[in-house]
Amino acid sequence: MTAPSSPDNKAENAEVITRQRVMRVLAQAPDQQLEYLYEKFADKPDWTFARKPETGLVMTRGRIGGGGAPFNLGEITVTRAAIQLESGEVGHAYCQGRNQRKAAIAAFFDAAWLSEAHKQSVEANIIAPLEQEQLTAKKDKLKKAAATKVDFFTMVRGDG
Amino acid sequence: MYVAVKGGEKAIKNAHTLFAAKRRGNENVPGLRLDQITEQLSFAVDRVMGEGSLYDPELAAMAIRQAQGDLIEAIFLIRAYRTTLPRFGYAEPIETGKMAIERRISATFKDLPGGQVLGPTFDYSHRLINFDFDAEAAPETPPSSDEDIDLNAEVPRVSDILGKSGMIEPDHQFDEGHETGDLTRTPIDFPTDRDVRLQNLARGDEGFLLALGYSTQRGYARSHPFAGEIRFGEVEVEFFAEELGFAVPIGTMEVTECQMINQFKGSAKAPPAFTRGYGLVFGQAERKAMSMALVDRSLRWKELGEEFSAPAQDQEFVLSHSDNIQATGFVEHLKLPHYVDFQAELDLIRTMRKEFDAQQNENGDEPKMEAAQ
Amino acid sequence: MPMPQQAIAQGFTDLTHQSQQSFKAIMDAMAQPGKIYDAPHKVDNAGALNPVAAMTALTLCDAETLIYLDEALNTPETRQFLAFHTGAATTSDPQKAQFAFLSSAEALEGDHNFNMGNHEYPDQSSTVIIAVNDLANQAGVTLSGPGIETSRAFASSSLNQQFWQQAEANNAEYPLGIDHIFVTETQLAALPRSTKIKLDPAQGE
Repeated sequence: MTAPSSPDNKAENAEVITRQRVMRVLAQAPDQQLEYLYEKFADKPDWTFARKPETGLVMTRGRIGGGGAPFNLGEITVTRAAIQLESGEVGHAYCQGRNQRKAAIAAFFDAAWLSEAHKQSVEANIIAPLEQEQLTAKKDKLKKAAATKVDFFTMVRGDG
Repeated sequence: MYVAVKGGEKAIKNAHTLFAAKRRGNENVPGLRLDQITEQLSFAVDRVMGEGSLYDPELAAMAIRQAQGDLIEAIFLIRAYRTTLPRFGYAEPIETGKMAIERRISATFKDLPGGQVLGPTFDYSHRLINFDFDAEAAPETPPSSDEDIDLNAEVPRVSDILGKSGMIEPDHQFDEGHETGDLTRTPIDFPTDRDVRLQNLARGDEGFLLALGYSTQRGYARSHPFAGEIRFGEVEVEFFAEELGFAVPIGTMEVTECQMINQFKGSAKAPPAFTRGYGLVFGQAERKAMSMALVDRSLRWKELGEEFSAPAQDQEFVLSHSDNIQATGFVEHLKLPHYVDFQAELDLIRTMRKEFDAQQNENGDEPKMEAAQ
Repeated sequence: MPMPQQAIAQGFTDLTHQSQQSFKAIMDAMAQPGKIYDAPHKVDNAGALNPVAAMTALTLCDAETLIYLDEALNTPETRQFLAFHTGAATTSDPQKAQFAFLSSAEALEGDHNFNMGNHEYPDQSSTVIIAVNDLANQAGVTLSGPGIETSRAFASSSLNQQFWQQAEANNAEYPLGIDHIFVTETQLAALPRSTKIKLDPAQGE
């Protein structure tokens, strides 16, 4: 969403946005579903950890007044991992929460998505369906909220 | 002063065992599962995350269960746990304008662009205990609106709407070169800037802030507040990973934001306009976000050239006493052995009484305590 | 902002224990200025950093520290290695650096002005890690002060008269000043700001 703004390099920006999408979808995927998708994923390339899963904290920030200077709001648990495929690609994961297995699988799919050999399969079988589910869930939630939208009217009306 | 005491190991061990049994209660009653707490006691979970200053619903549920529902004890467990983890860094500031809004109300504009969304709320309920409540029953399916939802739509804040006409002060900015303060790294140095004050309030005790906010409404640092807008929903969290060179979306979290709008008569420096207090809290925590916004505003008295007259304006008082872990630590430490201290006090009082009696005898008065008055 | 996809060199293989062992070696070296320690771990392929400099970086730097790299060390590989394993960002401003990695003591000479700390917080100074060819406890300069019982002879062919004069001036500012860690391919030694330096006239240029 907030891709680094370097207007002089649109291609690079587009590349960042594409990658952010993949990492977002993986980070937001439910733990068990990701596990299931990993088990099911055919022809898994060999891989090693470039970084073993590690749980830590990230300090979240808000903005004063909503849009002003940043301030520190509080921390959030995050687990990260990095996986290197035998073909060399390095995939990264930063996932909210403490599930190390999930971070490892997310890093694996990120790496596979980066490799020419597996990109299509990861996109079609993992990223696209997960993304669709996430968008639908979000939409459902917003629709339920929208059903509580209200038009208040003041008791003296008409002459403003 | 504390003096080490020895002994009591067996008694302490037995007390722990007894406590664990009390925690479990009647074993014929099913034990609490974590998902029961996260799903059905979400306000308790949100409070523990907010004041524990750590967003992790499952951890908060674990802490609540272990603390038998004592939320300050649960917050204590969370604060202790967070010290065991490394910090990867700072997230990008969340964008509440892009929040997936579940609730959004304004007490200042009825026709709010983007609409008023009541969302899940206690408000408008009659506060009557439901004696027929069936915890196992499936709730009625909430209706869905058939309007088209644009997932990328931004919902402007009330402050943005008023801001366009210059009727309200703009969002707070610091001078160039200001580094965002972090009280978990550098102890507060008074007077402190608004960023550190907000960080302190965001993790401050809800009860303390509620009382202070209330005091401002009752005339102690009167600031004529209106709830300009309260919104609750999900925002994305992004972390700039050095090794990747871009911001990674790591997940989402729920937050409550409150824009309090306050009257301002103007000063020598600024024309009359509305001013603002800001509240932002983890989870759904409207009472806390509103209280935070009221206190944030009252702490700004000096910057706005107002008169100092009330506790809620005193930043050293407010910020030094808002943290319930510090507070409970100092209050509850009184339970620790003070035997030697007290013995010394006892000796002192005895000596003073002897002197007092001697004086009374010298004066030929009746040696009575009342005489001292 | 390039997205590195090439292989990233291995850091510590056993993060907890190796970083603790490395920390102890660095702490001991700092506590006994001029005493030469074998590095407990050597981290290879860390960009342009030598293996002991890399060990030091992995031990001392994290996401809350800023690193300065001199020109020879400031390569994409070094930056990637440090970013991945420590999360630390690099800075081109020596004043802002908590840690500075230099390829030689000569890099200290120019107009680099590292952070000496301030009287309220002398600990906010820079720690400078300098790659050298060799370290020896033999005639060169004579070190004394905290952590040294009487005096200690210390020499490195990579440290010239000008460096030692600078180091002497640094010591004169105590409690302000920078701290030095010297690293060869296999060893390390430290020269904190508190150490007094006697230049051996015989060594003069």
